[in-house]
Amino acid sequence: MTGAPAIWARGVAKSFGGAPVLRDVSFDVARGSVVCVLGASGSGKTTLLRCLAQLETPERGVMGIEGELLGHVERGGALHKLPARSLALQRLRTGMVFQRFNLFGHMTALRNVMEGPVTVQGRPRAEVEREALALLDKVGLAHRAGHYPAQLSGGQQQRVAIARALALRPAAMLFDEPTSALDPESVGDVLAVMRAVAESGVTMVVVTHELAFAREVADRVLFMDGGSIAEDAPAETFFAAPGHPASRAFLAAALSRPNPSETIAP
Amino acid sequence: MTGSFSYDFAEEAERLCALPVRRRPAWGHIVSATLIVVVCAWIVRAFALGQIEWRYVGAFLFAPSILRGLGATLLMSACAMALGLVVGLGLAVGRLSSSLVPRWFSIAYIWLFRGVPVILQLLVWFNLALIFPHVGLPGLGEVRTVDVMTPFLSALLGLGLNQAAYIGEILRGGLQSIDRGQYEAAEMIGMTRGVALRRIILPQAMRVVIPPLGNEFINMIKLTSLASMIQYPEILHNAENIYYANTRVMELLIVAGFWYLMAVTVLSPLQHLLERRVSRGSL
Ligand SMILES: Nc1ncnc2c1ncn2[C@@H]1O[C@H](COP(=O)(O)OP(=O)(O)O)[C@@H](O)[C@H]1O
Ligand SMILES: [Mg+2]
Repeated sequence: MTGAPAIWARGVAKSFGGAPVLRDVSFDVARGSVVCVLGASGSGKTTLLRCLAQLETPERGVMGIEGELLGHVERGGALHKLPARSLALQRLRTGMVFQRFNLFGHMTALRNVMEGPVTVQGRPRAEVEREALALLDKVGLAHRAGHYPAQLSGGQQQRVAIARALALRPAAMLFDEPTSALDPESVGDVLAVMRAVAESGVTMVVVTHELAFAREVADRVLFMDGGSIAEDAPAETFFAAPGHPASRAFLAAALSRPNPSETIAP
Repeated sequence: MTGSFSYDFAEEAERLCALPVRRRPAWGHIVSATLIVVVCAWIVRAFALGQIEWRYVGAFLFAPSILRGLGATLLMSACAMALGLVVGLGLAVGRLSSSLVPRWFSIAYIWLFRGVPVILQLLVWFNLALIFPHVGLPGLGEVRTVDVMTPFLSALLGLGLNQAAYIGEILRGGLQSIDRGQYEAAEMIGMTRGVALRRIILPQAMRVVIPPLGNEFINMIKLTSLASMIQYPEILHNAENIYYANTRVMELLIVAGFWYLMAVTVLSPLQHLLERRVSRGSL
């Protein structure tokens, strides 16, 4: 199976109240690679990611992660919807990092990271705690293990959220504008952690407006426009010679702005 | 011009700072406090001079049947509240469910049980034998309803199922107060809906629902007095039995009132402790 994509989608379509948001989206993500999803606000980036995370159900199309069909099982020449329990287990394979962190407010940073492995996977508490502390250390927050989310800054919360997702050893990590809700000073810390995650070989799909990050870390760029993938190219190609008029306009507009993290609204 | 202004102002400010600050006399407080004291004194006098034999109050305050009644009141409050919480949680989850049947069942239940007076519900449960003379499960045998529908069970069902309608609405508000992102984050770490509800959503909803639930519990303690109508031997029922015999009505009502007041008084600090405990993590 080497060479088979870690994540793939074919003909994915989704609409909200009759308005199409994703139209016939198809792409592959190679194992261990980083794909950045770029595009204007409202072009369907979040919806695409939420379909991969199975927080939304596409109306048409098939997706797969690490050799498994997402949300379906093939039986008797047809695809059958997975029952809720199997769906929950399948979600363990994808870690999701939300724009608004969504840490569990009643748990300390450490408990947030431990919750999945202990409650869902049923792993021994002592072993999980050691791992969770190591993960918090990796994201630079070992000294904040006992803090509640409300006592942490946005950037710190987002780094805990990354550790929480990594604690389940997912096959792929999905990021939805992880730095858009942060003040400019904490953006760098979160991007540094994401860079480290990428270097550790985890497959990543990152929706972002941080072009510098995309240019440096991404292997490929998916450029979305009006619910379709307008361009799917290696990162160098995309930034050096964007092939689609919409990508050219997007890049030109973005480069004329001084600091993307300050000027692009979530 | 600016200079002379600021010079004048500095002098003026200094003069103002040197002035003593006098409190405004709190006429409103003085008048209302006097009124309250006068009214209270008048009531106390009326009770002291009225046909109240205080030695009866003293004699029956710790009478065994009154204390048994207190126990029965507390037991019923706890049981009915527990039943109300369990059924109420089901109603809240059903009300927020995306499928039609649980949602409409919850709506209909809450409509019915909130719309009918509790005392009437108690009487219906107590007299259930008039509609269903026998109850039982097929294969497990049957019993006569009058034997099953004891005052305790009637009161428990009447009070608990009525309470469930109110608790259901309180819990629904609590569940709705939790951000959708919390559900989604729970789903992304592989939790099923039930586990997410138990581990993530409910503990956070507690912050919102503990104060109103505490009020419901306090209400419930007083509401159990209605069960005296269906022969449940709680405080008021036992006090009534005593004054039917010795005609010291007011004395025994004071005794009963004292114990309700005590039960509620002890509960309030417990509620505060609980509120503090569930608000961990909030600033
Ligand atoms: N839950 C929803 N209900 C209705 N419309 C939605 C919903 N989620 C997204 N949309 C719409 O779908 C379009 C794409 O949204 P989104 O995927 O969030 O775009 P992006 O992340 O690229 O900004 C937008 O027009 C948005 O209003
Ligand atoms: Mg978005």
